[in-house]
Amino acid sequence: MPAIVVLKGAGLVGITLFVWYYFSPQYTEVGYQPKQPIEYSHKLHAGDLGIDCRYCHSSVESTPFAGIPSTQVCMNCHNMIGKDNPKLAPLRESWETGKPIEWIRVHDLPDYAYFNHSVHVHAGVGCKSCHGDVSRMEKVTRKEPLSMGWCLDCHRNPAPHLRPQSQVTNMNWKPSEEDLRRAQSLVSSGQVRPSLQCSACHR
Amino acid sequence: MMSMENKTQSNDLYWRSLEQKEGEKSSMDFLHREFPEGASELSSPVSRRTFVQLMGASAGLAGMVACRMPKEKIVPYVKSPEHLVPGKPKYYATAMTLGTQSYGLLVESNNGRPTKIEGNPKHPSSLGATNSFAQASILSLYDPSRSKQPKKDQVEQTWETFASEWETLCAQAKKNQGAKIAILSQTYASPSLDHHRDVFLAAYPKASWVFFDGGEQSNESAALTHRSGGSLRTYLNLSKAQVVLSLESDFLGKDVDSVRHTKEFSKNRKIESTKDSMNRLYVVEQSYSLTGANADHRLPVPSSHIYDVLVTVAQQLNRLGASVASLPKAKANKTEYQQSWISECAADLWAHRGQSLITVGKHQPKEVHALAAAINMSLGNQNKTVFYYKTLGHESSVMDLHALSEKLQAGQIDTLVILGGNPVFEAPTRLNLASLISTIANTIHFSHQCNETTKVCHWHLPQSHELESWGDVTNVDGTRSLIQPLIQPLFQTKSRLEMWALLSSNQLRSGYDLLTAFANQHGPSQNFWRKSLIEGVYNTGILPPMTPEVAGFPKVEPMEGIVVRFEHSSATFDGRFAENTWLQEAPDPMTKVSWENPALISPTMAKDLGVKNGQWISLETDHGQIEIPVWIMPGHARNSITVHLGYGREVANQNTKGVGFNVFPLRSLTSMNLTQVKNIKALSKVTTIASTQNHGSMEGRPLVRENTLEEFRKHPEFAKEAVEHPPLKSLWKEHAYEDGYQWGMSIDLTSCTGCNACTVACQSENNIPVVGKEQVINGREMNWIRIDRYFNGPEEDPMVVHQPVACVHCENAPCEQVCPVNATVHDDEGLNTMVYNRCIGTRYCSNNCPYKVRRFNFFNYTKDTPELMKMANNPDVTIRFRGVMEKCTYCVQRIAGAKQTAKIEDRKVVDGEITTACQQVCPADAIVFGDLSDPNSRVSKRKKLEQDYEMLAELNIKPRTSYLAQLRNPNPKMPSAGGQA
Repeated sequence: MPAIVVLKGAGLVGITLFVWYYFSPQYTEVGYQPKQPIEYSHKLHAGDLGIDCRYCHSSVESTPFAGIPSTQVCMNCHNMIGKDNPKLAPLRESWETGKPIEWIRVHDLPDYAYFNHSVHVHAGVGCKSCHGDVSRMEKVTRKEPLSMGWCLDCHRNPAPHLRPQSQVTNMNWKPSEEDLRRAQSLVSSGQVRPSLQCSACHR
Repeated sequence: MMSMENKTQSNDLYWRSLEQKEGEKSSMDFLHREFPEGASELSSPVSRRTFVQLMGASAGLAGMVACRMPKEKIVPYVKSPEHLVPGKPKYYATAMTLGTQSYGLLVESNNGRPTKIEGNPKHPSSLGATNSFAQASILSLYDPSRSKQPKKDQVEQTWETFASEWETLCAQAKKNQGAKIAILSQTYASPSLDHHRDVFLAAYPKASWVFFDGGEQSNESAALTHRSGGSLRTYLNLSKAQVVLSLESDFLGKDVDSVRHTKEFSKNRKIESTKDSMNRLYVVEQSYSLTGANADHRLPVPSSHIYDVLVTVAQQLNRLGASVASLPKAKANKTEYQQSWISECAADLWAHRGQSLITVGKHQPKEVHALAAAINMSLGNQNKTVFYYKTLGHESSVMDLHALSEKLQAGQIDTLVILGGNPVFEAPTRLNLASLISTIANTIHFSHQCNETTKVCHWHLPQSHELESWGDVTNVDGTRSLIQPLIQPLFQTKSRLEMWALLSSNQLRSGYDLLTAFANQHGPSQNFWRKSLIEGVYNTGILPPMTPEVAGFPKVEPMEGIVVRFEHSSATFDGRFAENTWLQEAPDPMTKVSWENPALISPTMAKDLGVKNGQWISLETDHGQIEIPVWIMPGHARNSITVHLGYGREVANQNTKGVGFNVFPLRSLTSMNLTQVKNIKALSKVTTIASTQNHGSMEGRPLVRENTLEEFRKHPEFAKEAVEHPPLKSLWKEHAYEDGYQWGMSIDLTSCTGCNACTVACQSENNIPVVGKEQVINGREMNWIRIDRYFNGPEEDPMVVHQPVACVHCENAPCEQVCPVNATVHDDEGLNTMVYNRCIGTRYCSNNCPYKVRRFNFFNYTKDTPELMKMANNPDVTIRFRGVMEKCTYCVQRIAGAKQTAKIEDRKVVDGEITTACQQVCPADAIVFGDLSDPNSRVSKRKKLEQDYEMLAELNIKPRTSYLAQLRNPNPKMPSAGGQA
């Protein structure tokens, strides 16, 4: 009998550990890389060409959403560049037919969590902290679990993720001693004080 | 009536229902069982065990497929509209009409879909607030049962087909100048619609154009005429009135301009210190109205005796020195109490000459209006508290409808266009409209929904919602507003303006073109146009006050025996909101009945008839007979019955069909508002009425606290002293609320009229589901803010106090201490937050909540929400699932939004920046929300007032919402014993 109990116990622990790891966003979400309707390369645009994130994600500083560019924004350049590129056929089609492009969401939060880009950008959290180094991604891949525990890690200790306002979109930024000290003092003075309350994100 | 001076704070005086007063078992059951019978059981025969097995299996099957979140798409614009940033709501000024009334609105639009309605502060009839009808109108926009396409004889058609058919009809009609065309329209007041009507009547001078609304018929303009021949209407300025006598005028409730009236009236009832004074309201009425509930003295008399009361008032005033000429004799059958009530009221009016006013319900006969005008002028109130303006717009005329029906009968009409409404259902049955209309060759019905009238017409043309329409409207004081659309028509519908233009000039032009063409032709320049669109109003306050010609006053014999009065409903109005489930579910402010319109009778009459609540009676007048259950309404006048219009539809959507009882058959041409009962008898059938009056009951503790202004001046601390308790000590270390914002709320019971606007506004803001009649009977209604109604005094003549109750956000919250999963927790700013995704539905929190404000999702109420209706949802609030508890959050989404804006702008949130939905809608400014850590915030100042009290403070739960006790200003000379004729 005791052997059965031990076996059962071991089984339970096993299942718990299995679920703990394999059901966690760390396992299920990180590395998610869906096929998009257009093979858009962030590496080319944001990396090689050095276009600032905010050219396309224009509402990131003022609204909860960073914003996905309209076809029109793409066409600002692509009515001149890559006019005959077959990869851009869906884009031209969208422009001509007026039918929007349906992108697949990579960084998705549950509907009961309300994230606001503008406050984070304003506090000096870099794009890279949550989205990874997008300027080196041919295809956008999820680098972080975006789980509640992961959010809270930073909310409990924000200093390592804080940058000067001018460097928020810079993927190659390395903090200097001065930057680190400044970030630390922002936190200790209470100027940056991320909420740990449920009501901060859940409504 | 109870003597105010003798009133103690003993809570036995306050009762919610007759059952509770009598200590009946049913009300006690509700009180003792938090979740009534059957609430905790699954309704299907699946046992708990099989349910768990099924769940286990499906979880297993779902397997790893469900491990990733569902794939979501992002669909950006092709071309971004200018100034539109996804995620940032925009606000547009527009207006909403209700017959000849209008409300100025500011409508919130989220990514192109209107989601929330607020009042336009610049509009004189809204002044920043709205009522429940305006709040709920957003749901009508997204109603899937709306008519979607033109139809002829049930076959789908296009507007072009109709236009060409209309052209042919017009060509024929030209020959005899339109003598065979008749148009039957709902009432309106709109310059652009009138322009097209003029064009139409110029082309077809012999055509008849009749206006008819099925609700209460106004007799005011028939009574008040101007020398120049036009008719006049009264306009009240309550901010100047110290003493008000209302004769069945529900000016704080369902009457025209009630939002502005409530604003002005409640301003004169805000008491900030013992030195402040207050206006005084006398009400004489048959059925208990919101205005009656806010009265300092109320006299219940049948509607048919109002004229007699007014004549007595006039005689009394003449004795005091007024000169109201040629009065008839009043009948002498009043009790001593009534006689002295009237004398003291008259004396008070006389003492406040020039600062008093008498207002009369629009439905009252014309001699009452004439006499009230004569008295007002004699008291010197004219152009001070009462103004007489030209009647704007077209009023309903049942006599014109009668003339039209005779023409139909005589075969003089071959084309009938019905513009809006449901006249077949609403017109007196004697006219036999349904069968007359079905004999006409060409019949056209233009409306939002298919109804009884559609059924007998050949053509059905779908009408746009006002949030999809261009148009304009004139307010009762002459101010004009533009109606601008928030969204393209969702279906193949046309606005009223487009329809009018199609009728008059055979053109299918867009509403924008029509309105701009009209505007350019009649004045406004482009600049003016843009400014008017932004502000929502133009031509403010231009009407010159006039003096009515008042003829003599005939002798009128009050109807003897039992009378039945037809009243607008707080849910359907005259039937036009019957399809709106938010309004249907909001309990009537006075009866607390939802989803139904039982006949209201007094407790004495119920005893005489031998009926109880929900028991059916057979009711017969000279014109028809119906069967309807009764609802015993304390304070209702004896020998009279009140029924609400707009229910009992047969051709309607599934939510409306068979809801309530059709009372229209009792009416006739000459008795649209009031008629005599020929026969009344009790039936044996009894049904359960969906009333919420016993729900959320809190065991007779002193919850509402009330006193007279005079007593308050002597004992300013009365509200705080109502409960004695030992020093309060906590069992554990309490949460320290030290830094940051500390949110709190104050609700002024003196200002609150109990109008329900906050309940519906909260429903709209917080995506609160509708549960239906059966669930309301089970006590499962979901409204986060309820309005408790308490009676106080004898059954036949009690006073009423209203108390809005939502989560009070206790600092020491009992709900948090019993939640096994930490789903309800406190944040540092004092919010009692609800984490839906943690909640496992034990309902312990609700059991432990002394205020009974928590609501549980017994079913997945939102599962079957049609896609279209989902568009009404607020994107900032989570949709809750089955098995989850929910409750007021102090509009945490608005708090978070304001805090984020302030953070980005490197400042603190300023006082008044955050308004909760209930606060914003409140026409009485009864609710104030803000930061308690700021001693200068409005809410902190309110909480320092003497009459501030915390409900159930003796439990040491430290609620963040506190109340200002109800104060009334009774006349000390009034007789103190109650009694009726």
